[in-house]
Amino acid sequence: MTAPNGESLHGKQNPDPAAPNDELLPQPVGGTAAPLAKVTLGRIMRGFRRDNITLLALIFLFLVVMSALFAEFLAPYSPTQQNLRLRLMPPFTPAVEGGFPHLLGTDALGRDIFSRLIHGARISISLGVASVLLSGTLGVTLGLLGGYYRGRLDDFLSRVVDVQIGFPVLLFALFLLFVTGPGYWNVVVVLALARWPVYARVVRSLTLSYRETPFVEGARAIGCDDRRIILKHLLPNMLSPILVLATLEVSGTILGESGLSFLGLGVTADTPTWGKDVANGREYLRIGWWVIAFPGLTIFLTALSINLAAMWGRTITDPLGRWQWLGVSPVLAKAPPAIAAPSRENVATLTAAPADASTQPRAGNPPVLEVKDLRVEFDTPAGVLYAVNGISYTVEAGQRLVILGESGSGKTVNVETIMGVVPSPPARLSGAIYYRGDNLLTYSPGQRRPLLGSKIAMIFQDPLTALNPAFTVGEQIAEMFRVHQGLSHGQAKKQAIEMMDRMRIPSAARRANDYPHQFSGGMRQRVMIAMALALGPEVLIADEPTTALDVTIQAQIMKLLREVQTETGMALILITHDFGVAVEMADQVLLMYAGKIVERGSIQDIFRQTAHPYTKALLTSIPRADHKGGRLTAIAGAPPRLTHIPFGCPFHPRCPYAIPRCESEVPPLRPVSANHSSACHLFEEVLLDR
Amino acid sequence: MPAAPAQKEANLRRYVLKRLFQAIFVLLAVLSLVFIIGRQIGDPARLILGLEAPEADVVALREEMGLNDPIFVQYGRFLVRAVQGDFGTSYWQGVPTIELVLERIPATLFLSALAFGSAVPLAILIGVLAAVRPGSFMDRLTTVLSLAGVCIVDFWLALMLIIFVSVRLGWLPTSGFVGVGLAGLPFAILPVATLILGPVGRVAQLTRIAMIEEINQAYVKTARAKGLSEYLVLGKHALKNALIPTITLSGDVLISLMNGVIIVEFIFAWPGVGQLLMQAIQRRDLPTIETLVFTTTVMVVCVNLVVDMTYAYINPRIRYDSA
Repeated sequence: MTAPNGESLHGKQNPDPAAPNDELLPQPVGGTAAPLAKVTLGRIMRGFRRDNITLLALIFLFLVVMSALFAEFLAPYSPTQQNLRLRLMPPFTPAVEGGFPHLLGTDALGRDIFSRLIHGARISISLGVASVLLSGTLGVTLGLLGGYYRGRLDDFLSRVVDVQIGFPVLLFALFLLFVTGPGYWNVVVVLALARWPVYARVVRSLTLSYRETPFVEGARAIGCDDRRIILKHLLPNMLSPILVLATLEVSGTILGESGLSFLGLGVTADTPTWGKDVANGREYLRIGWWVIAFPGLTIFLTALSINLAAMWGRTITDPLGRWQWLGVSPVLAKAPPAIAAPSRENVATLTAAPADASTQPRAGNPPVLEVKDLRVEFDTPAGVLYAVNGISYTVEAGQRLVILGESGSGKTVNVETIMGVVPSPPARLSGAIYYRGDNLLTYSPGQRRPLLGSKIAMIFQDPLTALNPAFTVGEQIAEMFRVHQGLSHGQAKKQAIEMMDRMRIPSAARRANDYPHQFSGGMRQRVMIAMALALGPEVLIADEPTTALDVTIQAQIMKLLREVQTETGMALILITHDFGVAVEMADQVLLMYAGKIVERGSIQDIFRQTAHPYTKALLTSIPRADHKGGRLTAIAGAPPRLTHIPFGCPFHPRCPYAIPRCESEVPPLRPVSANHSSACHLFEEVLLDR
Repeated sequence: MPAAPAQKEANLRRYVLKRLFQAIFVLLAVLSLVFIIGRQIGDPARLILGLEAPEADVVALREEMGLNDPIFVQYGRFLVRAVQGDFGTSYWQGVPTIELVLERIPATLFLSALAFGSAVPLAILIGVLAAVRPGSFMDRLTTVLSLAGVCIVDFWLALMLIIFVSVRLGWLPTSGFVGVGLAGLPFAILPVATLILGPVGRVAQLTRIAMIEEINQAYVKTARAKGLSEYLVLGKHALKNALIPTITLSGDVLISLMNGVIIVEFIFAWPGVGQLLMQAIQRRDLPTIETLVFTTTVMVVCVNLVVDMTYAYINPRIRYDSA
């Protein structure tokens, strides 16, 4: 009797306060206001044509309700009219006196099953609705009171709700009906008593979440009394989830009533009910399957229709869902011309850009890692997202490469592509990633796996989410040894403890049995590093490894990374948005902007001979101790959305140096000096401008 | 900060004690309810002796049963007896009700264990496959099963299975019970199939949702970056986390099986507690009904305790947070 869609898991979300619904419509982005779509009859019709299952469900429900209301006029026969000459006749038996055929056959007393079903709808529908009204009123009221006033009442109610929801409904109902005796109203009340806690629980949790919201606190601040707040502010906002729940409960109640009728404890009188009809057919199941089949099928179709209608109700009471159902795209954004998505030709220009000398394939000993013209694109509802747009770089053994960039510059996607953790599809990848001369992008996942973690390893940004909460840290490190080296559990665990020890995690042997949430942020990142370094990789990729940590811990983690890098001689790719970290860690620096490399060079070159306006802007936005009292400058404008990367140089809308050429022509990465290059048409000017 | 092992133990113990205390509260509440309702239904002495018995006999029996004592004395006596498992004598069979109930429990346990043991693994398997391959056959099956599970009434499903599988095809016996064990399996197949449809749908749907949520967690990316096979990434790392909500739901599954056995035992002539309940209701045998309500409550409480303990075991975080 619960909703089929994991309500228990998601039922407690905060829905948006449902002010007048249209206000919640996402407003068109980009300033070009599009006319708001209207709900027209045509749109509704087309919506139903797409969603014809819902349409069928609603039609069936309509027929059932009509049967309940006008059974006397619709049914071809009286439900109690017996005809002993036509006992247990199969479906489509013609009537004796040339009347209406017995569409669904007759039962053991020769009564017309079709007519009985039409009459049975009355009990099912009216009892379902009545019981739901009663249980809904009771549950909603108690849930509101408990959630709003909290305290003893709430504690008591919650306890009762927990106990009752955990008790078998049927046993509860049978016990009560045994005491009260069967009967229409007894069934209504008993089923209501069995189901009110469902509403109380949902309404209580909704009330709790709304209690603290600004619109309720505001109402309290302007002096609304409790009654008004509950009735005018809380209740209306919960109406749509309550209605959806109540609809589902009607279905549950109909099923419950049919069960009680089947067991002989339902409605007494000789009014036909679907459940009783199934019970009537029990003795004849060998000779008259139809006596049982059709009443049960009717119960099933009714419940199914109600459930489908409730799902539909859930969709259309959600503003976004409603527009989607109506086939109107809620986002009608038209991008301003200045930031149009790169067209195919534009991308072609990007590709045509002369490759930097250092990315030419080299003879002899290939570098540990070489990325060539890597591109990563995703299809999103807002258009194609160009995350990485043709970047090339190499990483030598023992090198420390820092990739610098703001969030959304494509730096994380770039390294995740190396690790093969960017799912493709949906992502579209092109270019090449060479590990010791072999292109990883041509490898199957199975071919690549032995390298991952053992030759190329990665540390993620937030160690709390990157570690699995359900396994001990020792197990998570030991797994590396077991999977890649085939060590036994015992050996692997010993190695794991040794790694933790090397990463200076105090009392490693004991702490190996702890779970990630029992560690501090810094210790957690040490665990992550221990895991990444377990098999002595040749390349370690660290994606903002200290961003999620306290400032004091950050320095310790960086120090540890530096030490292990020097000690092992592995290559390190460090991603950061922090120039300070770059200065401390880098041999080589790559600056990324909008999925492209804008400047590359040694840290000294970047600092002393800044050759790109973006780098310059970043550098001047760093607070500096020797510029006390000077103004802190931020870069004007915002980084581009990767779905709408500007034509030409992606930085031109924010660039103080920009000339018309920057808007039309993509600047290639050009050498500034031996090992320093910049993707700026005007880098000579930028160099001189200090 | 890390909790010392001793602290861990203390927290766990406090958690268990709290749960036990709640369980006792529930049992007491149900007992009181049973007592109050049981006294409302009419004169027990009259019920035992029947309508034709002379008034003098009824008065004598009332005195003998202590029904003239103050209500608190009766309540106290009722509680003391209940704790000892003494709920009186069955009006219908004339033997202590607790014996009647205990005698029926193995059959019901056999049925429930088969149902639970097949439903939960099956549902988890379907749910995981549905989550891993969106839009696949398993994904659609999950939706269909979960809808069917809430829309098909069990008594009808049971009868349809009998009509088509037993009567038409003649593959399985229509009803009956030959005992607990391997020989009883053919008789248990249809009852079990009826019982598990709803639970499989619900658990599969929940597992699917939980699994999809876990697949998008950062630690799954870590597991892939560690070079683990997809089997380990999904079947070990994601699944263990996805099982946490599923375990909570399996408590509900057991409860709904207790609903189901009443109907299923009634239809399949399965001599378990569900059938006993229906027989007791038909014969207006109040003491037996009271005993059944109470034993069911004990079972529900035990189920919830076990679920809570399993939950605490599989979800390391709860051992601290919720203590």
